[in-house]
Amino acid sequence: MSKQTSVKLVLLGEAAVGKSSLVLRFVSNDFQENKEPTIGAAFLTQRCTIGTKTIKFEIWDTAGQERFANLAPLYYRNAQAALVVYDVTKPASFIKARHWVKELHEQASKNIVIALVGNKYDLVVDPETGEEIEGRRSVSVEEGKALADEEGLLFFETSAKSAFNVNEVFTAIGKQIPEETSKPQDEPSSVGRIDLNAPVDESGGAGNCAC
Amino acid sequence: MPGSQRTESSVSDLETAISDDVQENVNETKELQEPQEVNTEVEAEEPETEGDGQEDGGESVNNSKHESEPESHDEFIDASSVTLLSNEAKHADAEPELAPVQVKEDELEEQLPTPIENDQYSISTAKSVTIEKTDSSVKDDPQSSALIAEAGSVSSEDPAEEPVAEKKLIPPELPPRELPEPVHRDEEPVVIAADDNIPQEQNGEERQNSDYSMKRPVKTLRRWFAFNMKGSEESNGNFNEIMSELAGPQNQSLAFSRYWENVEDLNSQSTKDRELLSQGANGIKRTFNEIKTGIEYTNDDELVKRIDWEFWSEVINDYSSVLENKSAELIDNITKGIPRELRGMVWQVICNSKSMELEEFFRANRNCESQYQKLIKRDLARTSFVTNSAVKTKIVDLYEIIKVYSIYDKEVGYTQGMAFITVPLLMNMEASEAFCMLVKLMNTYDFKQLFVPQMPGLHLKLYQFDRLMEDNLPELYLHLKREGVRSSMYATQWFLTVFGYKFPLEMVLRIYDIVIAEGIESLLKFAINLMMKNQKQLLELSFDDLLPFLKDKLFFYYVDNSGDENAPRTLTDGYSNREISIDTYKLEDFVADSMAIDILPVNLKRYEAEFVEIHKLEGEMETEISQLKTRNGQLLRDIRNIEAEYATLNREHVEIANEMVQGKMEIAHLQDENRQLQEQIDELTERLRRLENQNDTNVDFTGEISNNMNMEIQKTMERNLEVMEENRLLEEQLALVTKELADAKSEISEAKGKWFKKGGFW
Repeated sequence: MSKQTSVKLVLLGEAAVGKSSLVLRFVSNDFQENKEPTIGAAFLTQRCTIGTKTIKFEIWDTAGQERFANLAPLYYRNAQAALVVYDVTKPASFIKARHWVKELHEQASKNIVIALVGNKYDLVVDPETGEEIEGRRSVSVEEGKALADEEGLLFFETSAKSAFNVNEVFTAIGKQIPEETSKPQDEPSSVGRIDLNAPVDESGGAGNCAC
Repeated sequence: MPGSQRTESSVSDLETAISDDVQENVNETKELQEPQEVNTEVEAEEPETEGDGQEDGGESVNNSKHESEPESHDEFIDASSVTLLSNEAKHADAEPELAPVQVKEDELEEQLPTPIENDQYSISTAKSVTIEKTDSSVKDDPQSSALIAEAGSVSSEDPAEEPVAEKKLIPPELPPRELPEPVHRDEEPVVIAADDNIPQEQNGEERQNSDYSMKRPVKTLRRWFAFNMKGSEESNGNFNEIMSELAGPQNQSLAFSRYWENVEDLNSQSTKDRELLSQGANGIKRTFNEIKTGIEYTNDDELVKRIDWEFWSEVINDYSSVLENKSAELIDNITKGIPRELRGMVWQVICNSKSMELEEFFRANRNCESQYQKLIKRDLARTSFVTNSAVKTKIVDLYEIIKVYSIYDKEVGYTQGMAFITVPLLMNMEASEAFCMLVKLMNTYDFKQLFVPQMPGLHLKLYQFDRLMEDNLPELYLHLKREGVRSSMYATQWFLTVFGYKFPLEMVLRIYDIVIAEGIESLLKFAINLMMKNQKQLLELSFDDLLPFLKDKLFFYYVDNSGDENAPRTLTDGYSNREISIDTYKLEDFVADSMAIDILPVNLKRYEAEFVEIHKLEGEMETEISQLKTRNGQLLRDIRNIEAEYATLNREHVEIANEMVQGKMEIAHLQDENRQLQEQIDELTERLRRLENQNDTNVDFTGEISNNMNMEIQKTMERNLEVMEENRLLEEQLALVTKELADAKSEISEAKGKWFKKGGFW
């Protein structure tokens, strides 16, 4: 019997970058053109097995419109993982992603695992050859990587439509979730404590990549 | 009272008396301000009768004793949930709800000799309920939570203090002064005979009670409904006056409450605006009357018979008098659905929305740019509620209404979800009228609070929903709470889209009928109804299955199974877009069931007051937290500074320590040197001393030397004399020899002269 841990994961990102579509692909292996805008937030769960451990993802798919951003803290407050999604063809969405990463670092729990995800990769490749078409993308791989390296994030380019890299994102997150912290059922002791060594822990934690 | 007698057979006069007592004190259940006055057993039980405690108390009692009669429990819940009446506002109605608990309690007392294990169970159940309550129902009420905390502590002490079997029977909330009573009863074997004791005690309590029964409810009510009272602090206000105010239609009926707010809104507008609005209304009335007249001349039997023209004519021409005089009929007719031909007109008349001014604004701005227009377009294109409905043909109008609204109301701008609010309007009226009504719904019907940043209205609705659940479906409420399912996880969309996110348009229109007449609060009826109807199933599910069920399957309850078994059973699901056919659902039942749930404005107001209070406290807490964070930051900086100083000091310390070590080593070194020198000194001193000693003996030495020398000199001198004698002798010899030599020479020379004279020449 393998260990099962549940991981609370939240998706953040500008409106219409494909957050719900990523979730739909991951949870149901399905895709819809013109997905409904999410109102408030949607909640879904999905189990997946990584190595010997089974992880149950409790996914909060938030609404992307700026207006709903005020609700986001409700969802990322105790999240152990976050997907910050942008659209590789929309530079504004990348700027928004930067903001989200910053906010998460400031507001979310200290050891949250964040993946930066450039979605809609299918739009920049030729479906026949699978090669990139010049001039399609607005956010380069390098830009994405640079941000990810700078902030210590996982980085993926995905396509919910073609299923490219979608499962990989979740698997990578699952691998990086430390086993003992994956059930942080509101530990008041550690919340209330002033963490004098916080900066030290942080740098140490970033190096302790489980993969 | 009659309720209690019906429910339980063994109800004596005594219990009737107690029920009276309960009734009088119902008003104080929520805020039991003066625990020291809580002397009676009945009162002590009151925290149980509050909110969920009511059913929970019943449940715990059931667990301990009445496992054999679950149906009475069910019945109990049903009774309370179908009629969501506030205990305090309607005395008579509150009674049947209270009675069962009371009765069971009394029965317990009669059957005191109970197995201990059972009793223990009852107490633990009750305790856990108490704990639940402290963090849920009374979070905003420090006094009552303190009371509960106190009660909890009392209950936890009880078993230790008292004979176990006795104490168990008292609900944990009982204050300690109850103690003498069980002790007293302990003395006699508790059988029916003990009854004699109880009446006396309780009559006494009753008497005591009546002393303040008039004052306290009034005070409590004032505190309770402070938000609704003008001069709140006159002591001993007229109880009946307050009761009648609370019993007023605006506190008892959502429709009245809605209507009065509309009227108030109308009165708050300028005379000019009011005139414009009444012009608009008159326009609608004229149109309606023309249609009505026209209908009479057509021979469309179906149309004439299907619609109650007279009634709707009254509604449109004088809504207020219909509401006041035939409110039951009005609600009944609206529940059955406003005829779709008249829907738009009736809606507009009820909320008095049609305004020339706004229509003008709409027409003037429909071609203007808005910062939101791109997003609006994109969302409309991907909202199946829009793209799948008949409004598809009017999508340009829809887009313009929402766009103009984003210009009209800068504070709201555009929020995803607004399309759901607008579509039903546009289905039933002209675009400009729909715009007026959208403005009206936003401002007067408080939809705006759902859509402004921070969405305070949404949080309020969710809170009211939670509280209604807690008070009326406590079992389900606790189940969801235990499973960690919060209403924000599934109910957000219900309120933001008037159920349009999941439910088909036809249903939304019916819900809209109610919302227009009763306000946005009526959504709670539909929400609670759905929860109530699915309670049984929901109670069996755990977290994983709860959320999908709550999201997609709640409405399955109204699936019509009588027809085609293969009929599609899924509603439109945000994640699958699967189609559903409305014919397979019992829409009428759904609306009627929902409307059967009576939600009192006065309760909602109370919840709102709680919510505001909680919000305020949360705000304060957040300020405090942010202050603490700042302070923490400062302290962290201080710590860092101090740490830096400490490091410097440390370094200095190390340096000094090093120096000291070096110094010590030097000292040791010097000491060594010193010792060596000392030794040298000693040695030298010794030597000196020796030398000094030697100096004394030196005189002898010199004498010795001179003696030797003298002897030597003498010897030398003697030798010298010998050498000199020898020398004189040698000189004499020499002189002698020399003379001999001279003699010899003179002889030779004489010899030579003679030889010459002889040989010749001379």
